[in-house]
Amino acid sequence: MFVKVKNWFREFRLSLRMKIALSFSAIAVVLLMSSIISVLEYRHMSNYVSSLIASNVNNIHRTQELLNAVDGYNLKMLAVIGDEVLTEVPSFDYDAFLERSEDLKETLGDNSKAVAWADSVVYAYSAYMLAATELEEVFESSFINTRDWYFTRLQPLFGRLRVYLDRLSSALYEELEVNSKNFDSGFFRSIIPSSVAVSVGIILVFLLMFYIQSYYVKPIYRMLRNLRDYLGYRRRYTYTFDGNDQLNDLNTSITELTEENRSQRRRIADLKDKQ
Amino acid sequence: MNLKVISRNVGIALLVSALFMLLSALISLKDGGDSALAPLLISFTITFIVGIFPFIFVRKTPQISLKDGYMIIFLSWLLSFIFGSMPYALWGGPFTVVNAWFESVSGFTTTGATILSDVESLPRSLIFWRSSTHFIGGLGVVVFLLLIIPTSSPVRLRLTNMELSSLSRDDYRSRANRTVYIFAYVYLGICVAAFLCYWAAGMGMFDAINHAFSVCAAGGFSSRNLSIGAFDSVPIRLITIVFMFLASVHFGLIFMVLVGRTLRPMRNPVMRFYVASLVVVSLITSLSLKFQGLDKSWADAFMDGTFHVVSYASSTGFGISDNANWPMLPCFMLMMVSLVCGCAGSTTGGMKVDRVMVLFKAIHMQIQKTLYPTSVFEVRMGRRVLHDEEIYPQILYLALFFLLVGFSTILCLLVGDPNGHALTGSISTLTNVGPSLGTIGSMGNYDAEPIAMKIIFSIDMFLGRVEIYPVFAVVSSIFNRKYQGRA
Repeated sequence: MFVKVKNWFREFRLSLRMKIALSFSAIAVVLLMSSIISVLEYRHMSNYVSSLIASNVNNIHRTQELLNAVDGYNLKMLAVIGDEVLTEVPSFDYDAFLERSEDLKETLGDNSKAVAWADSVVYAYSAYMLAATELEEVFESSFINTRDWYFTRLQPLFGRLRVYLDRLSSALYEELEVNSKNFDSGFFRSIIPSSVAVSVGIILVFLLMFYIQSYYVKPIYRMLRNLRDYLGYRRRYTYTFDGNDQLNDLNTSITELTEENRSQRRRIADLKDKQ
Repeated sequence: MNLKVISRNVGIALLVSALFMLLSALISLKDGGDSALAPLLISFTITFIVGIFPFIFVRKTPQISLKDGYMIIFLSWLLSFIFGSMPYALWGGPFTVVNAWFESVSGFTTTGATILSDVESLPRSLIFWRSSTHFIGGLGVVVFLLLIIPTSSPVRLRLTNMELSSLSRDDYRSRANRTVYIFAYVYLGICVAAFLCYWAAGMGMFDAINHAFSVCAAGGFSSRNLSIGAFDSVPIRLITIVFMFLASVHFGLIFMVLVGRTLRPMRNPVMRFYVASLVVVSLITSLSLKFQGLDKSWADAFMDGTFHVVSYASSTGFGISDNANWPMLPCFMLMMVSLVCGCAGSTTGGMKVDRVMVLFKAIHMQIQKTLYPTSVFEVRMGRRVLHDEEIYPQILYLALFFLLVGFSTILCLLVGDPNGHALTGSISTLTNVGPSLGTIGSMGNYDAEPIAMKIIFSIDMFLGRVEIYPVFAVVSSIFNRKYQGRA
């Protein structure tokens, strides 16, 4: 069985048509591959960039919301502090703030610096809120000055919370900057495989051109030259070349024909001589 | 230069790579089509087409010129690096273009230097492809070719000598023809035996295949982050030591031992020198580790010392512990053995014990000549007398090797060497050991090195793998038009 297969491979020869078809198909497949790679890489990069930018912008937006919420609450507190009597305790949605902070932490993922600042924000916020709950007691108390309480107790905690929120925001902007740099290198990486595939296609085109030149064009030119020499100067047609397809068969047939023609001419010449 | 013949033979080398890409893709399919399936299939298709393309037109040629032979070797390696990096580059992750190139060169040259900090995060199919590059490179892309280049061709003998240089074959003689087959049989034998031993010792089948590919090629890529250290098993460590040693011994000698069923071929001076140096260096390293308090027990110290010494001497680069914190003496010992490495005619890298022995003997002869100027002396390797024509190329090679180490170090320093690995990295890559010291040590990686240094190191790996001369010969033949057409 093995010997049969081996012999089949040994005797197998590609026809001229098959060779041309196969080589062009190979180039077509490589070019198809390069386009598939381009599409895949485009999709990959597009998804990557979209999700990355969306996540970054979302995080920055959430941080800004937290900042605004805290600022708004602090302004309300400041407005109340100036009053003689506490008419209304400023309201704040504690749970929503914590929930937003936790959501933000979850989406930060691998950015350890930002996660650390988000943790600090949560702790600073807890401390600030704990102090803010003292407001009613401060108003009720006769020996605590409300302004003093605000500027010595609440304001420093608010300042710390703001600093942490600012730092969280800076960390997110830094992440955005790093991501855009990574995007640049990722973009460069993504075009390389398709460039390689296209280069391979171009090399194959040149290789095919070389093969066609050396296996078909050059032999045909040589065959023609030898035929002209034969017809013009009666030189023997002895041209041979490397190849195992129909062109080689054609060359063999021409050699046989010219040899037959030569022998016929010689016979005619002999007959003429005899006459 | 015969482009037809070159393209056909380079195509064969690419088809071998394509075959292993297909196997990797099949593993990916078995795993339910992981993220590496598309990169592997695309890489396979492109590599296969480029490899098979010349076969459409070019028929087998009985005669190949020497210059064509060199060009075939050069291009086979170079194109294998390029096409081999495609699955990595397409997969992405930590593989930037330069990282993918570095990993591919490191794999094919069986260096084992990596840019990965977390190997286990890679899909299994890509890990298999990574180990396959070791297997292909270990046997030498060229050996695949030599099996195909017609046996009647005179160029085959020269190419065989270039790939499988043999000074140590004192008791071993064979025709170039047979040498290639012997090399292939022993290589495959070591690979199969290593796989069976690992499997029997309790390693999973996938890990066993990957480590067998790696150990027989003296590569060093592992499927685990902690290399062999991940398998907390003494038998696995001992098996690794044995196979790393076997991979660094002249394959012809192993063949003679197996065929003749006698250890006599192993008693040649090169083997004695190699084994003795391994024993002495292992002893010094182990004692140093014990006395300087890095290993608690004697057994740990000896295991640690011996494992790393054999690993570096065989240019494998496996590790069982992090040598980044080792004291100066064992580190120096590791660098020394990694410079010399194992015997010629094996998959090991470095300067080779054979050449170092020739150097020592030539120095000894020179001293004797100085003392007794009228006497006649000769350099002997066992029963064989080495002539000047055999000695000078070896000494010139050593000089060229150190020149390249120096040149590579200077280049690294010029492009900026933030981590201080210019010298140790150059030595480790030029000797094809892979891991070095510090953050590029047995548990480290080259990711933190600058891009320019990665490129310099990858050139070092290529030069080290083909033993410098062939690359220079091809480059010289391309640029030096004076000699064109003479080969």
